[in-house]
Amino acid sequence: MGQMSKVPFTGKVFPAEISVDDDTVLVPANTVSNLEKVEERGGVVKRVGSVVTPHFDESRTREDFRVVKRHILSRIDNAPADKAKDPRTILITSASPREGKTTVTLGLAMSFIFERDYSVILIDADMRSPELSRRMGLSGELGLLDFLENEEIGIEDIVYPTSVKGVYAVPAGLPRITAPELITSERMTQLLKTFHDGSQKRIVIIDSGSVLACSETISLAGYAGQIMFVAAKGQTRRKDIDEGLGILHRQAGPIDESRVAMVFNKTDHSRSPVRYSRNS
Amino acid sequence: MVGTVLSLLYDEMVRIWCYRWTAIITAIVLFVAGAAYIVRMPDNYDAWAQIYVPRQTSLSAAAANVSLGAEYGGTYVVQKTLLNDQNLGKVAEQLNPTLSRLTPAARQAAILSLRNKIEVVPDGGDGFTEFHYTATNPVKAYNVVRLLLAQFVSSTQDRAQRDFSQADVFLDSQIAIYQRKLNESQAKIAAFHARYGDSAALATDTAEEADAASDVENARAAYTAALARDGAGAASPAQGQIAALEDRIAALRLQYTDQYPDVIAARQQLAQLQQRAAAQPGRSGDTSAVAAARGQLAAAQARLRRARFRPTLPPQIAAQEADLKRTDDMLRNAYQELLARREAAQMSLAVYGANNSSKFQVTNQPTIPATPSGPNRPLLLLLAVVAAIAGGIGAAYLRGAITGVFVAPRELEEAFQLPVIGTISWEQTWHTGEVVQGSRNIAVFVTFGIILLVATVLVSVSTSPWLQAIFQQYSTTLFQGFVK
Repeated sequence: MGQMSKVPFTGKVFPAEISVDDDTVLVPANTVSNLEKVEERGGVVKRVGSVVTPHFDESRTREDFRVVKRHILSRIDNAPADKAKDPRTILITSASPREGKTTVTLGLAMSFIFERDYSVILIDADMRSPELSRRMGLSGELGLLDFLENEEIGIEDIVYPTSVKGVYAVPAGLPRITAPELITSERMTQLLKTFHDGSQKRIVIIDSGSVLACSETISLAGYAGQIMFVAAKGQTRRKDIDEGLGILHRQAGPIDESRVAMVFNKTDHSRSPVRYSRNS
Repeated sequence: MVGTVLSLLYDEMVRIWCYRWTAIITAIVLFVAGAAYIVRMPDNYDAWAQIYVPRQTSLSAAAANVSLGAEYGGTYVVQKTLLNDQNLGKVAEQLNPTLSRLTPAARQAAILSLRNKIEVVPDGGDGFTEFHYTATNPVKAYNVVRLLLAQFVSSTQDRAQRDFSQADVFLDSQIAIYQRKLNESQAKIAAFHARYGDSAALATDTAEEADAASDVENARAAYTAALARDGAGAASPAQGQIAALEDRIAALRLQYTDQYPDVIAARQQLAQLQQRAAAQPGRSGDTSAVAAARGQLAAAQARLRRARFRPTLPPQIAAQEADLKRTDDMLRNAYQELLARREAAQMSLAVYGANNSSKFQVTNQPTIPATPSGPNRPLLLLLAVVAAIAGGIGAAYLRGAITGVFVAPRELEEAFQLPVIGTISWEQTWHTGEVVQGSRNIAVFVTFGIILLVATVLVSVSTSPWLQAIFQQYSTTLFQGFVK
C-alpha cells in the first residue's frame, strides 16, 4: 500500500467518482469530470478509434452477439455482492491464436451501442500481436503498457474515444519484455478499480492473447470476474482447450460455470442454435 | 431420432470438410503412387489350349444301354484328372529341371503355385474345355500349356486303356469263378440223382407227359371211331364213359390216396358202368379192329400213368432238392449276367477305347501369345481414383478424429462441462472478400477432380493396347489427310 501511494495517477480521469478515502488513488482537482470528457480533454486532439466488425451477415451476427451480451449482463446482475472478482471485468481469451478473440471483442462492443445504462472500455492486452489496436487504428498510440510502466502517464492519456458512442478503447502500447510483470503490478489493479468505481455502469472487456501463447493472459484472468473462452469450429483442438483451461484453473482461480463460459465461433449460419428471424 | 442421426452425420461431414486439404493431398499422393504402380505392372500373357470331348457320339448313343458309360469329357473330370500332383509335378519338372533336386516342400510349393495359376474353364458346356495359363513371360505361358496338353493326352489314353483292360480282367476272373461254381452245383445235383434214383427227376418231364396225354386222346378217338364203324353205336357211349372215368381215376390217384372220397365215388361209378356195359349185348362181338384200338388205348393210358407218376419223397430230401435247384438257378443267372457284362465292356472299349479317335480332339493348339491379355489398366486406374478419393476422405476423417476438433456447440459443452453462451456465425455476405475465398475453395476442388480424370484418361491411353491401336489408326488417318 505504501508503495502504491508513491505511484499516484498523474492524469485524473474520473475525479468526481474516485473515492477519496482510498489513499492509494490520488485525485487531482484539475482533471475532467468523467470518461466522456476524454474526447475534449484539455485541448489535446486525440485520435478516435473505430469499431468495425468484420463483413458478416449483419443482422444475423448482431443477434448472435446480443445473445452473448444478454448472458454477460445477467451474470453481472446475478453476481453476489461479496464476489472477490468483479464480474464487470470480462476477459476474452482462447486456447490458441486466430480463433476470433478480437472479433468477438469488437462484436460484443458493438452490441452495447443501444445499452443506455452501460459504457464499454475495450483493453487490448494481447501484447504479442495487438490486433485490437491495429483494427481500431490505434497502433503506436500510448497504451496500457506505457501507462503501467510510466507513472507520468495518466489514465486519460491511454483511454481513447471511438466511433461508437459509449465505447472506449485502451490500446496495447509499445511492446516491452517486462509486460508480464507490468500486468501483475498494483497499478493494473488500480486501473481496473478506477474504471469500475463510481455510479456509472462500465464494462471492461479485455482482449488478451491466447492462454497457451501468452503468460500475461493468466495474470489478467486473475482480475476477471468473467472469462469468455472462444473456441473456433473445426479449428480448436480438444487437447489445447483442456490444457488452457487447466492452466487457468491452476493459476487464476477456480474454473467453474459461474465464471467461465465458452463462445463457439466461426459457425455457419444454419447450425446456430439461436433462431431469431433474420429481419429482426 | 432420424433428425439426431442426420445431425450427427452432418457433424462428421463438417469434420471431414475441416481437413479437406489433408483429403486432397492424401488423394493425390495415393493416386500418383497407385498410378505409378499400375503403369509399372508387367504385361500378362495368356496362353491357352482348347480340347473337345464329345459327351455323346453316335456310337456311344447306340451303345448307351449296354456300355458302361464313362464320362471322360466333363470339365470337372478334366480338372480333377489333369491337375493332380503327379501330372503337375511332371510339368513342373519339365519346366524347371532343377526341381527334382529340391526339397519336397519346395517341390510342393512349386506344384501349388502352378495349380493356382492354371485355369480350367468349360466353354459353352457342349464338351469344349479350355485351360489357360497366364504369365509375364509369353514363352513360359506357352510352354506350360503345351506340356499340360501333352500330359492330358497321354494320361487320358493311359487311363482309358488301363480302365478297360482292368475291367476285362476282372470280368474274366469272375466268369471263371462262376463257371466253376456252376459246375460244382451240377455235380451235386447229379450226385443227388444217383442217390435217390432216376425216378427222382428234378425237372418235371412235362414234354413226355403232354406227349403221353395226346397219345391217350388219339387212341381214345381211334377206339371210338372203331366202335362206331363196328356198328355198336349203343355201346359206344358207355365205353367212352368208362374210358373217361378210368382217365379221371388215374388223374386223381396222382394226387390222392384210394381213400379219398372222389376216388371212391369214381371207382363205384366205374364199377356200375362196367356192369352195365357187360349186361349189354354185342359186347363180346368185338371186331379185331376194336380190340386193337382198345389195346392201344390201354397202352397209352399206362404210359400216361407212368409219366405222371410222382414218388413221395421225405421232406428233408425234398428240401435239399429245392435248395440245390435254387442255388443252381442263382449261379446260372449270375453267370449269364457276367457274360452280358463282358460283352458290354468290349462294346465300351470299342466306343471309348484308346485307339478310338472320336474320344477327344484338340481344337486349339497353344501358341505363344503375341499381345498381352492384361492387366486391365484403365479399369485399375479408375479403381485407383476411387480408392484415392476414399483414402483421402478416410485420412481427413482420421485426422479429425485424432486431433479432436469441435464442429457443434453440443460437443463443446459435453467435453468441458462449461456453458456455451453463444455461437457466432460467420456466414459471409456476397459483397465481401471472404466469398472469394470460398469460391476459390470450390474452384480448387473442381480443378483437382479434372486433373485426376485427365490423368486417368492419359495414362489409360498410353497403357491400353486397344486404345493405342485406335489412337494410332486415327492419327494415321489424320496424318494422311494432312499430306493430301
